[in-house]
Amino acid sequence: MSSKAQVQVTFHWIYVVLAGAVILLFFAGMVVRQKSVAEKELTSEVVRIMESILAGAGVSEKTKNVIDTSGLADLALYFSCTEGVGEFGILDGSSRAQNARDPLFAPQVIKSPQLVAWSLPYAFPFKVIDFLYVTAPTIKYAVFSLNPSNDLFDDFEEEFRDVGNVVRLQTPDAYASLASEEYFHVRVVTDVADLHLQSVPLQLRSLDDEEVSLVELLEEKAVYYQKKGTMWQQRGEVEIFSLGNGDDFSDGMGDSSAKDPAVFAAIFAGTPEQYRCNMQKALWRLELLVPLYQKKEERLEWHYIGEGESTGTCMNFLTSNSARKNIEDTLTHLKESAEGCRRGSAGSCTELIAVARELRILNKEMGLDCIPLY
Amino acid sequence: MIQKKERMVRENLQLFSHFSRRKRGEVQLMETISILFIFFILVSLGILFYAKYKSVAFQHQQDAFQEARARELTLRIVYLPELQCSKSQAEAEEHCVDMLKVNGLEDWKNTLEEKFTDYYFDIFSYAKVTLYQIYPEEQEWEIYTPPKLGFKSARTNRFIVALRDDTLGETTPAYGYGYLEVVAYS
Repeated sequence: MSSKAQVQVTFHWIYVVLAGAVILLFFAGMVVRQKSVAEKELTSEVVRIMESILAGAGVSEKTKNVIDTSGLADLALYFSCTEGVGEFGILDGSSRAQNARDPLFAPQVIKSPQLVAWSLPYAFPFKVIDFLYVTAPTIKYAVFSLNPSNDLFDDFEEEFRDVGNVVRLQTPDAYASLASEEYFHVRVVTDVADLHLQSVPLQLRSLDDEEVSLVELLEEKAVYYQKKGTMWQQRGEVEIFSLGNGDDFSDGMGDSSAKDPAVFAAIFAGTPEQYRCNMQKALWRLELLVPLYQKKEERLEWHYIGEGESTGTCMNFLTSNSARKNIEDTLTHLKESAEGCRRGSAGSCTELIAVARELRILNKEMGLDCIPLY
Repeated sequence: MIQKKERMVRENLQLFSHFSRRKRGEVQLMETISILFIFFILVSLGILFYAKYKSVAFQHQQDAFQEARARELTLRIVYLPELQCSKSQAEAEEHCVDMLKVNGLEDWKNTLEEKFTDYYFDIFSYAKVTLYQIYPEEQEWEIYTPPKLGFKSARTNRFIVALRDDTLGETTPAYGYGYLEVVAYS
């Protein structure tokens, strides 16, 4: 009897231990699964909220928004653009947001407790779209120019004075002694054409190649370089779709200190491919907007005809009934050039910039005594 | 006789103890089963409660998301280059709609045909955007209206705007006022 009781007790305990283990495993499995689900939910929530914030930042023109991402300080965000579709999300995460309409220029990877979102309206020559630039205080922009009165660089430094990640270098010695100072990434921005022929500053050589980059802003193009050991290796170059400032106006009243969105896009874009991809979005929008301005131009024509000014100065600006360049033809030309440029015709892109400048001059002249187109 | 009685009592005692052991065993088994039963009922109640809570939380999240989407959509519409006025070259005039563009909108949409729907659906999705003029006279224009059949909810936002018509004023543009109504469907 005693041995039977002993066996009974033993089996009783085995049964209890097994049942307990099964129940524990069940709950442990639930907890692990819930943790994984919660992490996925968190990353998608983060991406969704960021999408919303960036959409709001995008329409807040000329405004800098600082976004607190301290909860994501251990996660890296990535930004890319391929075949006209921009994408951002958490690196190595499954959640991502895609946008085929709004140009967003940002480094490829950002890891920071704060993000800085800045938006500028892009006009070509009328307002086409807002450009959104995303950067972080952990990314250093070393702006090197031998020209002490480079307005663009002055504006850049001034705009980011509160963030403190833009440093102005005005001598070759200052460039040579550039240090990384614990920044996640260092980007050198310069208007010196052959800076890439010089070796990488000594104190930057110990950083990984991906952590250092160079952009040379030359006339109407930007050339991108990546650190490779102690030298710079070219990554690519892009044409800057900008109408420039000042020189095109017949009365010389252009605003030479205006921030040029296309140039800033080249500064902030992580790669030349990202720049080109986002500029495609702007060109597509331009292609859609030109017909709307053509309709507006028609209404202006009807207005002047209705006012009995069918052969007046204002009509001459608008229609093709005179020998000089006019807005109607220039708009048609602009549309054709935009279509050609978007399809990849380099000649059309060069022509596009020239036509847009023509339209800007015509509009400015028209605005003196008549209703301008924009 | 006494021995017989004693034997009978002993047998009865044995029977009783055997019977009571069985009874005890059965009682214990019943106890275990009822404990397990109650335990699983509690676990099921817990799971049901959690599922209900998650469902309600998800609904709240959806509502908040729809609200945010409606606000974002309204912001986008108000700052749309297709509607915005411009002053001194390309600088945009805030909270102002260019009526010359609005009046040419239908023709423009017809010119673009599918390009318009394809492009702007990506920005606005299912939504209805209408411009209402209050002054100088009441009028309305449909800016964007892809239909959504069987929508579950619709959130409406309105934004007051100035309506500028460059062709109406004598030496300066004439301004009316109205509002943009944005209905976001889900």
